[in-house]
Amino acid sequence: MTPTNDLRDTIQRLRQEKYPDLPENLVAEIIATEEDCPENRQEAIRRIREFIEAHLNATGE
Amino acid sequence: VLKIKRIRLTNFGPFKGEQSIELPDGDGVAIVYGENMRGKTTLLNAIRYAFFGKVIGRGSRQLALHKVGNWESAEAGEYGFKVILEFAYGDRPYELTRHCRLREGVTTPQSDDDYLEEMFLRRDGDVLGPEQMQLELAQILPEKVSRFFLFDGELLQEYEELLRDESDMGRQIKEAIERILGVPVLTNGRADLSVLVDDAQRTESSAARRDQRTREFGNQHALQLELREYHQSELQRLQGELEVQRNEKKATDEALRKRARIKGLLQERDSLEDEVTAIEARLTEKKNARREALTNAWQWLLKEKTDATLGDLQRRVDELRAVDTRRAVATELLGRAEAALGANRCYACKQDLKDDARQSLEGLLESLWAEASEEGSSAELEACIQQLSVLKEVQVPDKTDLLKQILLDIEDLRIQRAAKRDKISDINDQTRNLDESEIRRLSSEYDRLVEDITILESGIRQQKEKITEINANIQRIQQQFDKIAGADLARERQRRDLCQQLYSLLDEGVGIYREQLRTRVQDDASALFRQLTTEPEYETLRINENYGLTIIHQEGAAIEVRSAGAEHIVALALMGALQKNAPLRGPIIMDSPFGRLDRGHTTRVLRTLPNMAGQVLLLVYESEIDPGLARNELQGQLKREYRIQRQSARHSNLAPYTES
Repeated sequence: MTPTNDLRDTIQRLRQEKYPDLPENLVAEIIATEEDCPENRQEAIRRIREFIEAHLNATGE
Repeated sequence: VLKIKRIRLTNFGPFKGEQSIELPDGDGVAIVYGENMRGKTTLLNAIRYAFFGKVIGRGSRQLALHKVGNWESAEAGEYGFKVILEFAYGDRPYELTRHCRLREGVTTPQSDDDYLEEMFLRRDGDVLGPEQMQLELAQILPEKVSRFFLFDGELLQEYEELLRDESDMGRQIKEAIERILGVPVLTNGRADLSVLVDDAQRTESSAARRDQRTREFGNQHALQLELREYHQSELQRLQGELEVQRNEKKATDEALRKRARIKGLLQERDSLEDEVTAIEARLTEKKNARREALTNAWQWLLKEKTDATLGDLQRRVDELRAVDTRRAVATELLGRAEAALGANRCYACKQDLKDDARQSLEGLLESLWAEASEEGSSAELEACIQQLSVLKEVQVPDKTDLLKQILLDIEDLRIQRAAKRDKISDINDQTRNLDESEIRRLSSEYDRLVEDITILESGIRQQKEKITEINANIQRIQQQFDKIAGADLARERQRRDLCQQLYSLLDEGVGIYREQLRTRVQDDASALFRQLTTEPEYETLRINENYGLTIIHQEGAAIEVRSAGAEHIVALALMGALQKNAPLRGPIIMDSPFGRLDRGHTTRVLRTLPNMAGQVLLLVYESEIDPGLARNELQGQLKREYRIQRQSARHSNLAPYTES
C-alpha cells in the first residue's frame, strides 16, 4: 500500500467507525484537495467549500 | 517520485564552462569521486540552487551568490553561473533552469545586488508561468523536506536533536519529518475546516438575527464569535511571536555553541598564562641558584691546584715538625752530654764517668751537634701552617653536578615556557577578532529568550482556554437555535454540523495517523538499522514522540551514548524509513557520508543503499569508498561512475570514471 493510500484508508476507517453519516466521497474529495494544494490555503478552502455546498444541495433536494 | 536525469552546470563553483553529469534512467546508484576541494559539495549545492536558489556552506550558512561563480571565468570577465536540472516527476519530463547573471550596466560585480536571477520551468517542453512554476516546485520538492534528499554528514548529525525534547532544532526537524510523511494533508485539512466551521457559524448567526424568535440568541452568538475571533487572532499573534522567539533562541543557541569552543580556548589560554607565570617563578629560583653556584665556581676551577699545594704544605709542615722535634731532642741530649763530660759525672746514675762511657759520650757529641744544628726554622713552620689554614678555608665542596642539574632544569623550563607561549599565541590568533563581551551578551540574550518563551507559552495556554470556554458558549447557544428555530435554520445547521464533523474527523485522524506513522517508521528504521550495523547485539530502534531513534540492546537496555558513526547509521536508517513511508519520494544525494564510518559499516551501507531509495547519488572521495568495494557490493545496482578531475585549484572537470 502506498503511503498516500494508507492516509486515505486511515481516515475512511475512522469515518466508518465514528462518523458514519459523513459521506465517503466528500471526505475523499477533501483529502485529495489537500494533497493538491499543500501550499495554497485559499484555493483549498474554496474547493472544500464548493464540495460542501454541493453535498448540501444534493442532500437538500 | 522525483528522478533527476541530468545536471548541467555553467561556471558553477570550480566547474568552469559547461559541464554535466547524467544519472541512470531506472533505479540504481551513481557515484561521483572527487578529492577534497574539487567540487563534490558544489554538485550538491547546484541541485539545491536549482530548486531553492540557495547555496549552503558549513554550519548551514547560506553563501553569497556573488561568490559562487567560477573564479577563472570571472577573471576573464565572464561573471555569473547557471544550473539546468532535467528531471522526471511522475511520468512527466521537467527542465528547471536557474541563471544568475550580471545586471545590465554592471561590469565588475561587488555583491549579490549586482546580479539578476532568471528562472524557468519547462514541463513536457512547455514553459510554465511563474505562479504555476512555484506551485509545481512546491509539490515536487518542498524546501522544508529537502534535508531528506540532499544531505551531508553535518546534516545527519543533527538528527540526534530529535532525542532532546526541548530542542528547537529537533522541533523543526520533527515538523519536516511530518511534512515528508504527509501529515500536513490532515493538519492543513483540519485548519481549513476550522475556517469553514467558523464561516458556517457566522452564516448561522446572521440567519438567526434575521428571525425575531432567534434574534437575541443570534446576537449573543455573533458576540461570542467576535470574541472568539479576537482571541484566535491574539492566539495567532502569540504563536507567531513564539515562533520568532524560538528561532531567535535556536540561532542564539547555535551562536553560543560555536562560541563554546572559543570559550574553551579562552579558558585554556588563562590556564596556560597561569602556568607560564609559575614556570617563570621557578626559572627565577633556578637562576638565583645558578648565580650562587657560579659565585664559588672559581674555587672549583682551582681545586686541583689547591689540593696539590695543600698536600705539599702538609708534607712540609710534617717534615718541619719532625726536624723541630729531632733538634729539640738533640739539643737537650747535647746539653746533658756536655754537662756530664764537663763534670765527669753521669747525669743519670750520678757516678763518675768511666773511660769507656766518657769515650762513648764524646762519640755521640758529633752526631748530636749535627742533629741540633739541622735546618728548618720555626718561622717557616709557622708560615706553612698559616698558608695551610688559608688554603683549607677556600677549599669548598665541588658542586659541578648540582650546577649541571640547575642548567638542565633552566633549559627544560625555558622549553616548557616556549611551548606554552606558542599555544597562547595560537589561541590568540584563533580568537583575535573575538569580543569576549559578545559571549556574555549572547548568554544573557539566551536567558531573556527563555523567559519570553515561557511567558508566551503561558499566554497561548490562556488564549486556548478562553477559546475553549467561548466554544462551549457557542455550543450552548447553537443548541438553543436548534430548539427554537426548527426548520428555519435547517440548512445553516446542516452546514455547521457537517463542517464540525469533518473537522472532528480530521482532528482525530491526525492523532491516529501520527501514531501509525511512528510505529511504521520505527519498524522500517529498525529493519534497515539491522542491515546497516555490524553490531549484532543491537537489536532494534525505539522511536519517541519527535521521531528520535534510540538504539536498543538485545537485553532491552537503551544505548544512551553513541558515537558520531553510530549517529550516522541511525540517521541513515531514519532516512530510509522516511523514504519508504513518505508520499513524496525522490533521490538520495549524499555528500561524503562515509567519513565517520569504518570499512565494515561502509560495506553494509553500500549494500543497503539500493533498499533506501530508488535513485542514489554518492559524492565521495576515493579513500572514503574504494571503487572496487563499491562495484563489488553494488554489482548491477551501480549504474554510473564519475570522477571530478582537477585542472587547477579553481577549475575542475566532470568526467566518466576510469581506473587511473
